Amino acid sequence: MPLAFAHEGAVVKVLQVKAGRGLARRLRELGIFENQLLRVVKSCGPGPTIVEVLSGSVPQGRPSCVLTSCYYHRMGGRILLGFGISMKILVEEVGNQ
Amino acid sequence: MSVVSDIKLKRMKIALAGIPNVGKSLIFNQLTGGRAWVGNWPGVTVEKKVGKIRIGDNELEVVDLPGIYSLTAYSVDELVARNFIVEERPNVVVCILNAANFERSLYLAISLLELGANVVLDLNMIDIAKNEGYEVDYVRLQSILKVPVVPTIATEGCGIDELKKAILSAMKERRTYVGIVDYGADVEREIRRLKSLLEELAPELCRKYPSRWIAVKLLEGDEDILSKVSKLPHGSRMLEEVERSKRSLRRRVEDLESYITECRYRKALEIAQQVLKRIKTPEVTLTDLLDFVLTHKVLGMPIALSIMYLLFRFSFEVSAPLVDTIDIIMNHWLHDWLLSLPGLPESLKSFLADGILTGIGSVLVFLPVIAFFFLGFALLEDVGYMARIAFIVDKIFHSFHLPGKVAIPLVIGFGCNVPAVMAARTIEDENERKVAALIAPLSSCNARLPVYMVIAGAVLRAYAGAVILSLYALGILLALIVGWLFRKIIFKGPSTGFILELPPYLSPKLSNVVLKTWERTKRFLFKAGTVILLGVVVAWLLSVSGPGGYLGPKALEAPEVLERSWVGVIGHVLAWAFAPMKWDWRACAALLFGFIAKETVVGTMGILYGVGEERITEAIMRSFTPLTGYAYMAFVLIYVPCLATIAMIRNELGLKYSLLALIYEVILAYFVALSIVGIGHLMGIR
Repeated sequence: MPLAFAHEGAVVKVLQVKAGRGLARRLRELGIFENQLLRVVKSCGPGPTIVEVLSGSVPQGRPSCVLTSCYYHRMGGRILLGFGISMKILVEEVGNQ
Repeated sequence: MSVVSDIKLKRMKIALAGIPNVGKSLIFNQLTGGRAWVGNWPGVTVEKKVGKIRIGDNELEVVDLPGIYSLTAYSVDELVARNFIVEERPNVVVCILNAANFERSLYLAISLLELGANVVLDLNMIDIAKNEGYEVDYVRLQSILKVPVVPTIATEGCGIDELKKAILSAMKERRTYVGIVDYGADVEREIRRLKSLLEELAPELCRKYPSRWIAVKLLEGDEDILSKVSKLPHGSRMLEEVERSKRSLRRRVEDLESYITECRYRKALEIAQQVLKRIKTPEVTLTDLLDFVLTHKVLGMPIALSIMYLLFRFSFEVSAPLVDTIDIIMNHWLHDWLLSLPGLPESLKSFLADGILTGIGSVLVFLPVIAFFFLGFALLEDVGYMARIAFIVDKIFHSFHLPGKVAIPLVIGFGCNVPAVMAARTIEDENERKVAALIAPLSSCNARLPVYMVIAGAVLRAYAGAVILSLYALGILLALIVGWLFRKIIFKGPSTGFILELPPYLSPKLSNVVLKTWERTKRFLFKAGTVILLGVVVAWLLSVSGPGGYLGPKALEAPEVLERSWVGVIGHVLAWAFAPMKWDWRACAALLFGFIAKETVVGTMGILYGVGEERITEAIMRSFTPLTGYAYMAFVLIYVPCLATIAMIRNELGLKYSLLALIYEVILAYFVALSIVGIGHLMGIR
């Protein structure tokens, strides 16, 4: 599912970034790459999103209900991803707050 | 210290680097005592700024750079920063870390260390990090990175002296840590192989950059370094070797480029884990609360419009008494006093009173409105609201094939179009950036405001406020439509979207807000004293002389004489061209002077329609109907903002595009004014 469709408040795991080279690199520099966890702070579903990058990746075998921001350190400022980019980042929801 | 080393120090260059919105410009100001613009949104600085710093007896050159996330440029402003650091190799790079955005800051610091830069780390915003619930163990950080770390709170000036000391000692003792990131055994083996090959085949390049860095960049596929190597005598051999390394790694690493950046990123995360200490559990912050409302799906847009509306009401209402005061002083007392001066020749009196004083006076009357607008604007900037606007409008802008980030130049354009064109630099995609720079002038700047106020005040009276707002809306709407057309016809291509890191909301610093308001207002005053003055002097000269020779100041008292002046001739020719709109020839002549700067339209009208505000108002009421007045204001909104903006477009995009801007704006202005009159007539409005 593209990030643009994710629910507000959801914690998602990045599955794939279908972006060109420059864009993919910029996203990596901001901490958005495969297997990273993001919290969707705002979503105009479907539309632009505001996300927080959570440090750490999904722990194996952990139930998804513990994925709250208390367990994960929020990394840096919030990132605004325009509609176009939010469509290019494929994610799966792994938890909700 | 010896004399020799003193001279050496004086030639040294210090660069300030950091991720966007980390407070580089603020630290630059505090180091140099300068007045670079600062603001709470990423992309305030789009060009490098140079200043001098005094440390003891040494005067050193400090360069403030636009924000970057890494040494790989993605947008034009980032290219400015990368080129400076990579090409000019400053003696010391002060890398400013945001303690509240630690991992990303660290990523950049690591990139700089790999380049072999002589880095001093400035750990800024430690107060904000503390509010968010954690601390950075900077002593530990210093021992991990092996370079000096100085904690600062730039907004309060804490730690700046220590930073200066650290810079000075870094100049004397260079410390580097090129091998900070371990890329894993396989990649490291190839790096070593390429490194020794580089040292053998490209010794010159290895003198400029650490060979390890070049090797990593080659594997990463950095276009700039690849082209540098290809130009070397043994370039093609070297590139073959790089391909060989890539082939041999392909079996183990799927995508080498992302593998390398991820290694670097994981290193940043690893260090962050070692030095970050949580001191309290995170609470709901003010930023969370404000963002809940301000970027709300439904409420966001109406709130943004209300904020804009408030900004305008604030600047009109609060400034009203001051406007009246300036009007009385400039246009009545001073004017009458000048005319009553004995012993001055009539023509000189007229030149001073009817020319310069009336011309400049009719513009300066609006100084308080503009100053209060800038004050409100600086407040919004400092709080951190600006970046949010990009989110709120993105969905709408997206349907016009424009990224929401275009909103930033457009909003800056409400103040002045010149910085608005420059602000387009932060837009990543080249096509979108060009479109943004070309449509930014459609955003209604403060220089147009006096024209609206004079005309709307005269012919639309009670509706003036609403009408003026409608012009701002018209500007934005046209910007979107023209932007969409440009994207469809000239600058085709997929919309790549945009990324913007949102700043936290901060309470505005009074000194900063006042300083910024003053700097911008000063620019308006300066313009009044130069360009606008020149415009009105020319307008006066062309009014008192004509094809038949010198007419004398009586031209400004008798309309039938004025018609024989140059202005009269030009005005009548233009009035013929604008015949469908039924504009007065004097208003048409004023448009010509408006090419220089929009304020000159009012200045010229002041001269041509007679003296003092009341008489302008009456004269305008006689020559405009509400409909033709509105069409005139729309024309003023759309046709060329000022010469300075066109020059800035030329600077940014080249002559071709500045001409394109000039032509499309004049045509669009004519078309829109004509449509307004036409539609108005159909609806039976006069």
